[in-house]
Amino acid sequence: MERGEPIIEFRDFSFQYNAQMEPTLYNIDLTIYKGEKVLIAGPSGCGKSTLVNCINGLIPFSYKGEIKGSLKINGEESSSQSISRISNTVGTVLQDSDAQFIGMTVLEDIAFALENECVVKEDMLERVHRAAQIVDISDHLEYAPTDLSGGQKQRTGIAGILVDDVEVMLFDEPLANLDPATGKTAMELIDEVSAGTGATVIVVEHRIEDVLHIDMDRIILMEDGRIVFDGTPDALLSSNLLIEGGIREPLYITALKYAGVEITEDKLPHSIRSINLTYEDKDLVRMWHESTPTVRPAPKTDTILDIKNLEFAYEDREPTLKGVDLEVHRGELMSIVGRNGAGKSTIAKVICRFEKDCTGSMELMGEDLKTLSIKECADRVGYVMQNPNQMISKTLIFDEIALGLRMRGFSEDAIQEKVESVMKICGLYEFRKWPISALSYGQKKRVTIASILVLDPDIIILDEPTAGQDFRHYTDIMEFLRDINSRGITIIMITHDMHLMLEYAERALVFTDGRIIADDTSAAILTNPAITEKASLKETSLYHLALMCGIEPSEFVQHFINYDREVRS
Amino acid sequence: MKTVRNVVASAILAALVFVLLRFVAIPTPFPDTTLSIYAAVVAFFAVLFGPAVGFVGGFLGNLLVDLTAGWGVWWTWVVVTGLYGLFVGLGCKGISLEDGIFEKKEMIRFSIVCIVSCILCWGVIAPIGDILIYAEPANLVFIQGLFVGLSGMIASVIVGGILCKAYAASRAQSGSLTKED
Amino acid sequence: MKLLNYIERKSPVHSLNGASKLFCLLMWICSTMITFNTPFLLGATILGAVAFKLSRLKLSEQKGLLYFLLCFMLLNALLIYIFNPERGVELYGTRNLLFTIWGRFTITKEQLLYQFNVILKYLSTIPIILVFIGSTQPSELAASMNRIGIPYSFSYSFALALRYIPDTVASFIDISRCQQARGIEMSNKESILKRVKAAAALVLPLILGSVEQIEVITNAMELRKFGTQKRRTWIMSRPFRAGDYLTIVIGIGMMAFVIAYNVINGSRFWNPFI
Ligand SMILES: Nc1ncnc2c1ncn2[C@@H]1O[C@H](COP(=O)(O)OP(=O)(O)OP(=O)(O)O)[C@@H](O)[C@H]1O
Ligand SMILES: Nc1ncnc2c1ncn2[C@@H]1O[C@H](COP(=O)(O)OP(=O)(O)OP(=O)(O)O)[C@@H](O)[C@H]1O
Ligand SMILES: [Mg+2]
Ligand SMILES: [Mg+2]
Repeated sequence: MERGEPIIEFRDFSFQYNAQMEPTLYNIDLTIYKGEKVLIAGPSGCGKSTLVNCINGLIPFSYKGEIKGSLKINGEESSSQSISRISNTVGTVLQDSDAQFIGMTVLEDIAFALENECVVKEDMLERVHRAAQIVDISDHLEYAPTDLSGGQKQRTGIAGILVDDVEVMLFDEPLANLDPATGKTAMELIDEVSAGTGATVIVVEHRIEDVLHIDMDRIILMEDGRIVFDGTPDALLSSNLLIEGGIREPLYITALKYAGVEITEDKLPHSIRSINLTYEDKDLVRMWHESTPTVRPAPKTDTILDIKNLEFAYEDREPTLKGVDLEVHRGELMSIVGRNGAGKSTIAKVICRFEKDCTGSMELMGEDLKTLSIKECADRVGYVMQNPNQMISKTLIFDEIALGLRMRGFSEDAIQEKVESVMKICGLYEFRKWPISALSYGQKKRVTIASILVLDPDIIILDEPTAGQDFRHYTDIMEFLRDINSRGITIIMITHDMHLMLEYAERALVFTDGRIIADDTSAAILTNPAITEKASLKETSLYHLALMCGIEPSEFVQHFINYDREVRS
Repeated sequence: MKTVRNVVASAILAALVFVLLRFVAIPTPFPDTTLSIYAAVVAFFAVLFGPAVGFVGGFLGNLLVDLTAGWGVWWTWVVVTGLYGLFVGLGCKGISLEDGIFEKKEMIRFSIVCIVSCILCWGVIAPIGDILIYAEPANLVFIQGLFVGLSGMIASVIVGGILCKAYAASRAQSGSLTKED
Repeated sequence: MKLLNYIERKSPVHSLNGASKLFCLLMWICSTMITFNTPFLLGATILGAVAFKLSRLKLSEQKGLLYFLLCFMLLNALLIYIFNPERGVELYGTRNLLFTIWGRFTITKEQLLYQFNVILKYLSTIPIILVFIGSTQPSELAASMNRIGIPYSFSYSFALALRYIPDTVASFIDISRCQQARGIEMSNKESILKRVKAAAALVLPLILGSVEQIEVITNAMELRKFGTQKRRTWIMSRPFRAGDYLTIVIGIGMMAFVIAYNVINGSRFWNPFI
């Protein structure tokens, strides 16, 4: 494509936080042109958010540190401007959509920037309504953040920067907590907006396949504060850099590679819709599909958790759980999926006695959960919450993970040993002396998982265990979960990640507004358009690949999963 | 109230004071008296963000409580909560928790400042204000002041101290963070 | 959780501008706070009741609060009496003894009048506060404060506080549950010392967490240009109408009366005993 003039120019740019001993960004050379759509990917902690903060001016204006080299925004050295000058050009939607939400209502939040520019009320209203129209939130203008779903908060955030008609839109992990369908629409929304306004779009995301749902012009791959790749999605996908960089490839790419299809740029592999496979390729896929590997039969064991007709409502609200029946078998590794606000976190809280006044029956190994205190319950069922900041109660990583053990009166050496082994598993060992305040979101999330794992309970419920995780830590954590799972600990994962659901959960429960609408194998569910539609899931790209090659989808997906497990273990 | 940070800090302090005054009551050995620790938080914020934040946050927080509770707005007590933040903030100027420094020296200074401020605020200003404005009986208001002042003192010195210590600990000494295996 | 009990209604009071209401409220509270002019307090109480009627709010909607008010009022009255049964005498300078209950616990006209005043002070302020909160959108408050001359940084702190109190409550609840799950017992089974420790352990993460939040919120606000201008506009602000000027006049009137009375009368007390 022919390029507009540059709008963001890094020249041999390095940055070091005052608190850090080594730089976080090394010799960045990067030019982003007007109207481009750029995806920045890289392992957790590699410096993506740091790069983003350099672009939007938080660095150097609110994070102190040492800068080398130059960064030009709109042809002007950023350090010679001010945050507000820069934010006339660059609009940012932060990683944490709750912090992004400043106003008391959607209307006020969208208007926030305009109010600060002293725009008179009439124009303000007019511009706000226009922005609200674009992101389609007009009929929620008087809602408070607590009454909005994740997707709606996201839309508000986008509208909040649109009112200012900025030239660059920055998104730091916009999909992290959105359900697949909402994520899809969010990306489409971003695409429309940029097409409409001609704005440059920069997205930081781990979920590459979901971002590539729209056509990105460029992908930038980072590792340890350096840029290791800068080019088109096609070029990247036809290389092996993603795997080497510890980032997940799109599933259909993995499948094709398994089948021995060689992926080249001219096949346009950046999306399952664009990719064109030759007859030979499709034959290869079919042949691979025929080669039947050993299908591991799912072990059907005795029920460990038995929930009957569970109903629950937050006070002065209409019911959130409307008659849930579910059986969890011992040693199972299952997933709960469904749209934002369906009640997934709620049922987890109810099971763990965080929310007490529910009707119906809950039995754990024949024992009535409703008679237990939170602590007693926690010895049997461990719950890793969605938001790490709500779980972290200590300032040092070690103490945080050790807290549960200390409360249960373990000896210090026993604690030392247990904690360190968990730290190694969760990839935190090298940070063990750090204050938690210096960790990235993904790193914090791992700390909370570690702090529950260290108590090894019968059942562990994880709420979004891998949100904001890169593929390496994703794999580490999931392999670890499978490992302890194989030692008989039952695991329930609440997730929006269809990959996770496919690759690790034999069984999946689908939630839609407080009810379970499906209970089946992940493969069956993700190849059933009726259900994916209803629960705002997203059928996997393998489904389309199967159709493309004229194979029965659910069989193909199941085959892929089995084969994938073979390869990985 | 210059920087944006101060505006946000004041708001969050107000929110915390509100929540602590309304929801959190730490039991004390004395029968049915609770150690309301909002004073500790005001002191902590005053040290961390300075007197302005201490004053505005404390004032707003207490005002919100009075507006939503049934006892009307008792300006004397509302203002005094703010003043407490102001005094502690002024008294602790120079203690920079940001750099992770809160040793014996600072701790002692912090405690003394808190104690003096408590006496000043709840032992003197609030009661006298009540007498002058509401014409309440002297002995009554001084007893009230004594109770609040004492519990505020204990809370500030102990919990406030812990808070400062914990925060200082969480601040990495600059250039200290490095991965080790 | 609902913080300020705003109730959407069509009423003359609701249609007033928040700024004028706020101004009037402040004047109202201050004047009733200063004065001990019984007729004035009676008038204010009646006026407050009228305002409550006009605002179309229902007593039933305020039950909890009013109940609390009653208890607090009586408790305070009792305390005052117990601590100083002759406070009225000190204040009014005369002593008309009605009868003696026992020992120092006398009943004098002065004490009755004094305590009647104290009660009137509650009755005249609380309803107007209820009216104000019940009839003013929380979102409009900050705009109003700024409108009556309070600096916008201060006003916005107020707005932010309202915005984040529900979050603070929610995260406090979550934290406390998490800590209980980790093994901290809050139940009364535990010894007092343990409970103090436990409560401290709850408050610590709440506060340190909030301090971290401050950084993020500050970033979000700076990225959207907060605090770059001398002033700022408010999308929730409303134009002034006739009623608003009337409201302001009422406020000024009350304040003026109280001050004038104090000056002329030479004391805050309306004293029928001399
Ligand atoms: N305020 C800070 N002070 C000191 N170090 C920091 C700070 N913020 C981030 N870091 C460090 O810089 C590195 C990069 O952090 P950053 O948040 O940019 O990672 P990231 O790529 O965004 O990770 P994630 O994908 O998990 O968000 C991490 O090692 C982190 O510990
Ligand atoms: N503390 C609360 N008080 C009142 N309502 C709540 C509370 N927490 C959640 N809700 C409401 O209950 C519904 C279900 O929330 P829940 O968090 O269980 O959804 P979820 O399935 O976890 O969504 P997500 O996938 O976005 O995490 C939502 O409509 C939400 O607004
Ligand atoms: Mg990040
Ligand atoms: Mg959830």
